[in-house]
Amino acid sequence: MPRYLTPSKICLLPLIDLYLSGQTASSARLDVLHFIASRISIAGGHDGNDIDRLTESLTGDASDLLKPLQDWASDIPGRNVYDILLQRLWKLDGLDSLHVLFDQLGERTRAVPASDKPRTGLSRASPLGQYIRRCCVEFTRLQFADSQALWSAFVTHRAPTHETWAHRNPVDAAARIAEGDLLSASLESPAQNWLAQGTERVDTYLSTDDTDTLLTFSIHQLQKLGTRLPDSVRSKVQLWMKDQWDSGVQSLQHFLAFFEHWKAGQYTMALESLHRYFDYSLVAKSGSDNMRVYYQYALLHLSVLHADFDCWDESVEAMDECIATARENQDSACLNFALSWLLYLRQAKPASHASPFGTVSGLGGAGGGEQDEIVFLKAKARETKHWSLLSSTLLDESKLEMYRNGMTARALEHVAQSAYLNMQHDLRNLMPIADLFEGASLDRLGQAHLAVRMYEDVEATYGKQSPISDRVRAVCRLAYGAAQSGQYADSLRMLDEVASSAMGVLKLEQRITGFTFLVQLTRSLRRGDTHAAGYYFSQLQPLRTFGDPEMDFEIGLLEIHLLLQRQEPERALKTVNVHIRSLKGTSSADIAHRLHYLVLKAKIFALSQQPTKCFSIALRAASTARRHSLIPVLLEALNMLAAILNDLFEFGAARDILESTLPWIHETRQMKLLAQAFVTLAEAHVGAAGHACIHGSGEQAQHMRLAETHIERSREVYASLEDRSGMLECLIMKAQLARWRNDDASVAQADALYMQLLADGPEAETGFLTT
Amino acid sequence: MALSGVQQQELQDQLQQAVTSCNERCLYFAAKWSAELLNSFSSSDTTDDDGSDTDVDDDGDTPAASQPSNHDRRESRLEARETPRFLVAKAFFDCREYDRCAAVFLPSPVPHSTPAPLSLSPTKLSAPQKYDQAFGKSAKGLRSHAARPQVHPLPKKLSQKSLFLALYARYLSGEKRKNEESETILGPADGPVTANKELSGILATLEEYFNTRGGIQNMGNSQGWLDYLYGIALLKTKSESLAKQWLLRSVNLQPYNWSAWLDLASLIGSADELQQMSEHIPRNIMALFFHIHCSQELYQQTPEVYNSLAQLQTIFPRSAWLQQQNALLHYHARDHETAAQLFEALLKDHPHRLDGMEIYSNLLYVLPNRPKLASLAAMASNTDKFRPETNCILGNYYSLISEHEKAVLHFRRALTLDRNFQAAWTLMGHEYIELKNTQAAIESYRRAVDTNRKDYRAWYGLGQGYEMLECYSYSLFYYQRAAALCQGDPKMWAAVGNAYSKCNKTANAIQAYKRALVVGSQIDTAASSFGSANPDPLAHAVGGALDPQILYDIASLYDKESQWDEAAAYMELVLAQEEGAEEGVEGLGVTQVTSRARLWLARWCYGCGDWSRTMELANELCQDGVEVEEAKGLVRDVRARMHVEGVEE
Repeated sequence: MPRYLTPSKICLLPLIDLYLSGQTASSARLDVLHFIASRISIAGGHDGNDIDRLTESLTGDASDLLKPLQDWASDIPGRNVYDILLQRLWKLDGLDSLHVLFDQLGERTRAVPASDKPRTGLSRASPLGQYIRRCCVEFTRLQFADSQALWSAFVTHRAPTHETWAHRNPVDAAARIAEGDLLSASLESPAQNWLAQGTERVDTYLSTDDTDTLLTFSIHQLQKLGTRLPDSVRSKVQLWMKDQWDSGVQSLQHFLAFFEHWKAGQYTMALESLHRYFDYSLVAKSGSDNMRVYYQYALLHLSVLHADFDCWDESVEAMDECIATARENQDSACLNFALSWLLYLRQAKPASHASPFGTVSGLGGAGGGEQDEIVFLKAKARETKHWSLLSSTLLDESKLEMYRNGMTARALEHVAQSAYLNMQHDLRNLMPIADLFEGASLDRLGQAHLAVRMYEDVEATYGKQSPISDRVRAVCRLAYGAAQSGQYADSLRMLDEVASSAMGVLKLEQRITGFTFLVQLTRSLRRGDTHAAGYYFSQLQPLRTFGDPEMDFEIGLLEIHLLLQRQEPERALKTVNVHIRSLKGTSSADIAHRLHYLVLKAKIFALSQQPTKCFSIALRAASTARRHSLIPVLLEALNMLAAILNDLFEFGAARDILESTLPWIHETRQMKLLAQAFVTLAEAHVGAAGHACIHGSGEQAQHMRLAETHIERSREVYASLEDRSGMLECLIMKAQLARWRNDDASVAQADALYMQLLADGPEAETGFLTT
Repeated sequence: MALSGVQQQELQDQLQQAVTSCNERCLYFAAKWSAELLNSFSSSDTTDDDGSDTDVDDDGDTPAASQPSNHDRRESRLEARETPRFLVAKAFFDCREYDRCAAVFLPSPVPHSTPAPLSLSPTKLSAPQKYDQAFGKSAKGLRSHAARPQVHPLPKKLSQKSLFLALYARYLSGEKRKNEESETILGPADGPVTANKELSGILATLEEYFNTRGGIQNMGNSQGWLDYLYGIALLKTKSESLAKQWLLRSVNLQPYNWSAWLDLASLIGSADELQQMSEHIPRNIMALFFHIHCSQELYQQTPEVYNSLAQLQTIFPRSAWLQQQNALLHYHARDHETAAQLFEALLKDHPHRLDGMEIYSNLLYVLPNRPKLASLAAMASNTDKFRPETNCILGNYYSLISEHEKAVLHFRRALTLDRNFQAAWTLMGHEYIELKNTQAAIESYRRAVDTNRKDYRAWYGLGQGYEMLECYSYSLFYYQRAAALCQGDPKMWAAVGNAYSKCNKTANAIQAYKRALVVGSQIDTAASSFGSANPDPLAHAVGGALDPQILYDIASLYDKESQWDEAAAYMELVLAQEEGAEEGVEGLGVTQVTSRARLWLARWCYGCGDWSRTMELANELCQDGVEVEEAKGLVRDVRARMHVEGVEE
């Protein structure tokens, strides 16, 4: 396999010469230069070049690659740049002409001009000059047989353009055929015949440099986006790799394999590949005595791998050794990165505290506490101008802020700082995650519409450039949000779509499956189909061990709902208590989760007719949520509180509370909560009508009318959620209210609806189950 | 010299027989040559007789017919008895297991590759004898002369064929070992330091063998193959006259062994020697081939050579070898166009034949024709990348595109493949000259000369090398050798003249230059003397017929000798080259040399007081735009003097 020069690179040389000698029309000069530049640094540009385009540009033949030149005019009227270039390319008629070409180009970039001709405006240091010089040097390096192979590859590469060229230059073509016959008859072997060859050989002539570029690009892509390679590309890469066992990319191949196995969830294979990669890298870099310099990176990867497969202890151990090595080697970049990872690790798995570097700040010399660690890391990052570290630390800090000592507004501020840093320093791969964080904090502030925008932003703005895990996460949240407002079909469709782009990354696929089941579970719970719900819940059980707190929490919530629906409040209470206790014990758990469970506990008490117990819990939850600006939880708690106040005959207070929370509830887009709030409000009105008003007064009628309106609204919301129990409840209440009004027609209508709904239920269930 | 059908049939049979015997003795090269020849009869004749296949078996003993029949029978009886052993030995040889092959017939308890420590021990001189006694009579001849009397007796009943194979295998194993020990090209162990250690053993064995059979005079009981082996062994030990005798004997006994002829040819240093030799060589068709080969090697392009070549080509119209010789003859005669055409045709007919193509590449280099050389190189590289010829062609190509490092690399590769590949040594010398590495260049040339003493370019290169080192008398010596070898090349004589003048032997230098002039103008004078019978001997010495540079050099030498008139005459001759002899004939025109001559003449005329001539010459100089300042100065001076003289008058 050649080192650098390929036919497509050679094709560029005459084009550069053509550009320099000003044979392009002045209007096209910039375009041609752009074309050349984009070819010279093939993987340099950011403009959405994915791996397919890259491989195509490496394997295409001359007619494909040079097609764009047809659009630009040359200085000869009626001929475009493509024609002129072809003329030049076909002027090369033998191995020797290749030497002549390189001689001429070498003349252009000579340090001291041989003659006192004016220089042609090509500086040695310019990108074009560098490219030409590199090509010349590489050509000089070639052994004879290699240059021969290069020539024949070039002939193959050029062959598809013959028709165009011959059409434009019939005289030359005819002369070439005659001459070609002569040559092939006398000297060239038949295999080298320039016409016959185009059809015979199809294998591509790739240089080590190209393969290296492709591999590096792939690995970069893998690292950045966390995806896997498409099958076609992978097979191609493996094919090329076979040809070059001698060059240094061998170890990179194992690195590629490492990512592949990792993402495919093959832990042992990934471990094996990683070890292999470092073994071969050491071989490749032998001769230098500082091989240990790379050791910490090996450990870093090892630790990340372990963490990804939930081997927390091994991960922390590897990370500890990594930190030790990095300190020894005074590699501050690696050290800081490792420290931030350690921080993440300990947050992810708080149990694994027993390491010699228990706290990061222990290294920095300060006292304990995660806040200090963050401060330390931030200071370090600022010192070393390690912006991505600073940005991710800020995100960490905001997470901590949200979880722990909770001003959500402050968390949002950190996110904003991080986003600013990302903008400032072009940290593209951190932007989607910052968006996610911002969305989460907006969610907590009850601004659901803004949060949705943020999640949509990830897909819309960054698209394929964002890490695949962030994209999947955003889509999952969007889908779950949609499910909350009753758009189950949309939600499932979204999840389906993103599943195809996960491309076999095991973790993400699991996540997507988990969320699909969550949506299904929610829907079947709403429909009152406990049987289906039980099935989905059992499917979800294995996913609880994957240590994803977000999903774990949602499963927990739904479990309690399921238990309540099955009329098992004791078990529900027990489960809630277990959850609350476990969340209290860990320092890094999300406070919102705990409050949610508290509200649920209150709900359970309310259902079991213990309003006083329930009142204090709900009040506590509400006040804590307010303190932490956790709006959704606060609203939930307030709704709970209002219901309890209703039970305690404090209808006025309940009404006040609900009337002030309703707009907020609308904003959070928690449809179920909204429906419940309407019901509670209606109850409050009915209570007020029954207890605070004179019987038969206009005020009473007013209250009752309002209650009826609210019930109707609630029923509509329930209907949109397909919530059967809610709708039934509403219909019963409606019928009762109508009965109070002696409106028999309405009563009959409500009863009919009720009966119909009851009758529809099982059908819908079976219909749904079969789908 | 057309052959009758019977004669041709006989020749074919003999050639066929020769191929078989050469193959049996693993003389692959000779076998290839003969087989090629066998297949180059005109195609219509080769298939004339269907029964020829059966005939071969009948008169298979034809070449041996001259030998006494009783001896022949004895040999064939021996051969028949040895057949199994011979077959295994041949198989070993074909697998390049030379030592094992030799051991089949010449068993010896001591391995042939004598351990180095033994020969390095301080008791080196006495050790072998003790060693030999300890092992009884098994001492080997390679143990130096002291051990020679104790050469172990050859197995009595051994056919010549088997003995030849065994000894030849031993010889080749020695060559192989020598190659291995020589290490890198031009390294410390390369060259005559490392010799073939088997040679003395082989020599001793063969000497004894032949002594017991009546020495060199008794030709009755030999098949000629062992004689050949003895010949090359002697050749390697530089006993050249003895080698010549044995090789002659070999070719007389076994005329179809082309390798023997080639080695014999390498011993002939001049045309005279060839003449003397021709009395002793057998009168058959092989002698003609030999003659052509030698003439070509000796740069003899006489009509007789061409004639006999043409004759042979009528018999063997499809012989690539003959065509190659033809091309080489033309090349040496500097008829580059014809030579190139011949080579081209040769390449077309035999696209995978690389033999001699390095000379074609030389020719393309001289022409120069880059594209053709490139495609020749591509073709050769496609055929076989690891042939010395291929690497020479590549080297030449790289040299032509001024990549001398790469050229050297390829020449070195050629030499690694075959250390006796003489063309590569010479060409590598050229490259080292280009790279200004004079020592390496001299060494390369020296090795070339050692391999082939008839290569005038190597001698010339040696001269050049020493000239660059400013060792003029050495360079003179080498130039003289080159000139002696290639008397038709004025460049050689000019170099000799130059070297003489550097050594301050002006008279000799002038003579050498004059010789160069004569040689250079030879063809021209012959051509023009036909056309116009001009009585003036110098009449045709104008218009570029003579080399102005040499003329100028002669003139300058005379100038140095203070023989002004002679110098002036030669300067005038230089000027005469500018224009043609007759109207319409183009001369060389004004060149740097003629301008310098004109300036000299102008000054000389000025010194003589010939003002008008001075004026004329100086004005011409001004017109030509060369040395204008000087010329203008002269003009001014002359004008002033003329004016003064005019006033005085």
